[in-house]
Amino acid sequence: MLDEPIEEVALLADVATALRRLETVPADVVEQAKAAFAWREVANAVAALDYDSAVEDDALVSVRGSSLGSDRVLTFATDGGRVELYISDSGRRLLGKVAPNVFRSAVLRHPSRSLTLDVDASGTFFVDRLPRGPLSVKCVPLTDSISPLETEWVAI
Amino acid sequence: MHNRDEGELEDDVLAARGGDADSWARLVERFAGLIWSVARNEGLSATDAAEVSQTTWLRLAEHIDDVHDPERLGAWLVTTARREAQRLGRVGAHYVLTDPWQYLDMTSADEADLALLSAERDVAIQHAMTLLPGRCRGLLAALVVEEPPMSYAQVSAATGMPVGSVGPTRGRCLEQLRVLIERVEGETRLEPAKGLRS
Repeated sequence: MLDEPIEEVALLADVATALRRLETVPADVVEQAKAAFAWREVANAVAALDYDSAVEDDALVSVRGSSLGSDRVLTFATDGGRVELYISDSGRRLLGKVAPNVFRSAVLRHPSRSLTLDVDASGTFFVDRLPRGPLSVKCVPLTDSISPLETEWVAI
Repeated sequence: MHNRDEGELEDDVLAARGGDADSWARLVERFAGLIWSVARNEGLSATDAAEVSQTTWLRLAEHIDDVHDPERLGAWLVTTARREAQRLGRVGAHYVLTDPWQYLDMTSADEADLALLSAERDVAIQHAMTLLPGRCRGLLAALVVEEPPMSYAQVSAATGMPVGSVGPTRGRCLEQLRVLIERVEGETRLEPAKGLRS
């Protein structure tokens, strides 16, 4: 083993370091990852996140955030509509708005449970005890001729 | 050997898309450590890293039909997890450095930069390892797992590889790894990777 090329020795040392620093993933994290498969839905179009105040520049955040009294603003868009989420009180309160105004309820989906909220006449829904964890919102239409609208998953 | 192993990843992606939970579970086993490392390297606590991991896998469940190039799946997962981790980090409320002293103890900004660069390098190596053929993954892991390193005879016993093949195979595997590291560093540097299409 003494005639090993120096580049190989160096790379192998890097591999050793990287593998040593690789933490054991907690078993429940692995289980949650496996369980995520159950959320696979083929039929509905997913509204992609197109604005998150947490990643926009500071000036924009303060203008949008402060004017609405929110810690964080997220918007999702697809051809079928648009969902805006205003999160405040350290992630505990959520005010949502969906357009067009053709949805009767909004289902706040967490990996382990769901919460169904009424959408009012102006397309808004509200909850003041938002559970922690990944969130996706599915808007249920007033009639079957309209497709449901669901957002991408986000960590809140 | 190389092709059959690449096929395994592709087979698992295709089968998962068709609804096979066992294939999905194998994807999780292959990539869970990588995603966890990305989140932790962004300075997240274990609780927040768990949330980032879960969000990343839920995203994949949503987008699995869009995976047209399984070889790029790792890059997509790394990019998604890193973006979610940075997002959660900036929200601030839950943001805790893994080990604040790690940076305070350093004498200069250069050293802190160096630590971050080395964390990036770790993730790139871990990522490249997930793309290596199983035989190479097993061999390289066997070569570095013990301190001091195992002899070729011990590695041969541990992996079932003839002792005369250990040296040459090691060389070929490290060369493949080097190429893969360069590739994944290129793929994950170009953010944001919106879709999985090649």
